[in-house]
Amino acid sequence: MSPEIVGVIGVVIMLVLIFMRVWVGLAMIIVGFLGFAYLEGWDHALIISGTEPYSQIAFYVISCIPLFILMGIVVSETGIAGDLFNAANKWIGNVPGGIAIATTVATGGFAAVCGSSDATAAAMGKVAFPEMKKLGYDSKLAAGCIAAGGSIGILIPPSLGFILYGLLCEQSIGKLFMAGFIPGVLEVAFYSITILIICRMNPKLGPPGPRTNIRQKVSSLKNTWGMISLFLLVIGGIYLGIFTPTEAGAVGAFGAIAISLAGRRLTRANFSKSMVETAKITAMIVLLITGAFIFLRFLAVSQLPAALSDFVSGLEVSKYILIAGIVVFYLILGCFWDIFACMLLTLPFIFPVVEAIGMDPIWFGVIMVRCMEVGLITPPFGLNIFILSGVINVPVGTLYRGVLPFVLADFCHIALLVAVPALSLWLPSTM
Amino acid sequence: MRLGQSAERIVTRIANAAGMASTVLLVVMMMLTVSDVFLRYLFDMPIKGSMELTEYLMVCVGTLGLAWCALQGAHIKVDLIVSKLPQRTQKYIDSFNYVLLMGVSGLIAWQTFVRAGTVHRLGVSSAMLEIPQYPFVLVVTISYSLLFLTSIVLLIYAISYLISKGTKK
Repeated sequence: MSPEIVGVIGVVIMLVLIFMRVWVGLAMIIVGFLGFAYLEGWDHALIISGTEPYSQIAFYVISCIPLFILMGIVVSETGIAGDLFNAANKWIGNVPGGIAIATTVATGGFAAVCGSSDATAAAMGKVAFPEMKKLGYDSKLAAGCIAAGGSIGILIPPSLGFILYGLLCEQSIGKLFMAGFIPGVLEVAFYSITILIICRMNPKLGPPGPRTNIRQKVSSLKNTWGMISLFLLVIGGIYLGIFTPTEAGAVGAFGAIAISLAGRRLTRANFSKSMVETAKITAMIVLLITGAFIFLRFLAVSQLPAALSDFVSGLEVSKYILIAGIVVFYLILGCFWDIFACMLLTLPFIFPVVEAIGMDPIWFGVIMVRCMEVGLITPPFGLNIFILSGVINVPVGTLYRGVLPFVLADFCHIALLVAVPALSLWLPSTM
Repeated sequence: MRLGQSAERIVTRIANAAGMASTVLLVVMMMLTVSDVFLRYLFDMPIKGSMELTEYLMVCVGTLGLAWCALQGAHIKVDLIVSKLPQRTQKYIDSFNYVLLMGVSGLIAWQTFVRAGTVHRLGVSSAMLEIPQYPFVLVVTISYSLLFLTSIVLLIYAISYLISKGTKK
C-alpha cells in the first residue's frame, strides 16, 4: 500500500471515530499514532507519543491562549457588555432600529476584548435583548442582531481562531490579529446597514429609542474608557511590536481584572468562575492541539497533503474558482462542526493547497475564520443560536428566522473580503 | 459497588485538585509575564528566563485540567449522529469510546514517563536558568494518568447504566 492510500484510510477512520462521538482530539491522536506506527514502525510512533504531548504544549506562543481566554471571560462576567451597550445606545439609539444598531456596535466593541463568539453573544444577549423588548422591538430582529453580532467575536482581535490558525500554519499571530480588524469593523457596518434596511422597510419592527442630550451621551462613556484603553494597549502593543501575543494576553487579562476590581465588579464568586471556565477551555484546546500535531506527523509521512496540493495545482481551473470552492467548503463545514475542530482537522490538507496556488496565508486566515463565523448562526448547529436561545428564552426557530437577513449580509461581506484582499492585508503590512 | 463509588470519589477529588492547581498556576503565569513587561519597560530590568518559565508553566496549566475537563464533559466532540440513537446504544458507543480513551491516555502516560527518564538521564534543562526539564514531563505523565483513571470511572458509569437498565427489562 502506498503511503498516500494509508493516509486516506487514516482520514476515513478518523472521521468515523469523530462521528461516533469520540473526542476530536482523541480521534486525531489514535489515528495519528496508529498511522505513524504503520508507516514508520512502532518504535518511532511510541517516541512521538512520548514527546509531542509535552513539546507541543511547552511552547511560548501557546501560552497566550489561556491568557486571552481569561481576559475575555473576566470582561464578560463583570458586566462590561452592559456599559458598552449603554454608551452605544445613548449615542445612536434614537434612529429607527437604533438600539439594534447600538447592540451591533457594542458587540463589535465587546469582541475587541473577548476572543470567542459564543461568550460575546451570551454577554450581549443578557443586556441588550430586554432593552429592545421594552421598546417593542420585534423578537426576530432583536435576537437576530445579537446572534449575528456575536459572531464578530472571533474576527476582531484578540481572536482564538487566529491564534490557532497561526500556531498550526506557522503564521504571525500579531499579523493575523491586525488583518482581522478592518474586516471586523466592516462586518459591524454591514450588519448596521442590514438593520437600517429592515427598519426602513417596516418601521414597526424597530422603533427609535428616546432622544438623549449631549451630557447623557458623554457621561455614558464613563464606564467604557477602561475597556477601550485596555483594547488600545493590548492591540496597539501588538501592532507596534512592543508586546508578543503572550505579553499582550497577560497584560490584557491583568488589566481586565484590575479594571473590574476598581469598578467593584469583580467578586470572589465571579472571579473563581472565570478561572474555572478558563482552565476548562484551555484543557480542551490543549488536547486538540496535541491531537493535531500527532496527526500532522502521520500526515507528513503519508505525503497525502503534498499529493493533494500537487493535484490541485495541476488542475486547469482558475485560482478564483478554487477560492470559491474553499469558501463554500468552509461555509458548509462550519454549519456542522465546531470552529476549532474544523480548523485543526482541515488545515493540514487545505493549507498546502492554499500555498500551492499562491494565496496569501494571512488573507486566507481571515477568509477562513470569517466563513466559519457564518456556521455559528446557521442551521442545524449554530452554536450562537443555541447559547443565545438559552440566555434570552427565545425559541431556536425564531432565532434562525431572525438571523436570515444577517446571513445574507454575511455572504456580501465574504464576497467583498475575497474580492479585495487589501482590506485584510493593508493593516498588517504597515506593522 | 461501594468500592467503585469510593474509588470514583477519590478520582474526582484528585482531578478537581489538579484542575484547581492549573488555575492557580495560570494566575502565576499571568503575573510573571505582567511583571516582566513592567520591569522591562519601566526599569529596563527584564525577569531572567521569563520565557522558559512561561513554557514550563504552560505545560502545567494546559495539562493538569485535562481530567477535570473530561469529568465535566467539556472536551470537543461532534454529536451529529450518536445523539439520535436510542439511549442504550449511545451508552454502548460511549463505553467503547472510554476504552479508547483509556488506551490513549495510558499510552501517553507510559511514554511520557519513559521520556522523562530519558531527559533526566541526558540532563536536559532550560537554556537560561538551567531548570531541569524532566519534572515538567512528569507533570504531563501525571495529567494523562489522571485522565486514564477518569476514563475508568466514566467507563464504570456507562457500564453500570447498561446493567441496571438491562435488568429492568
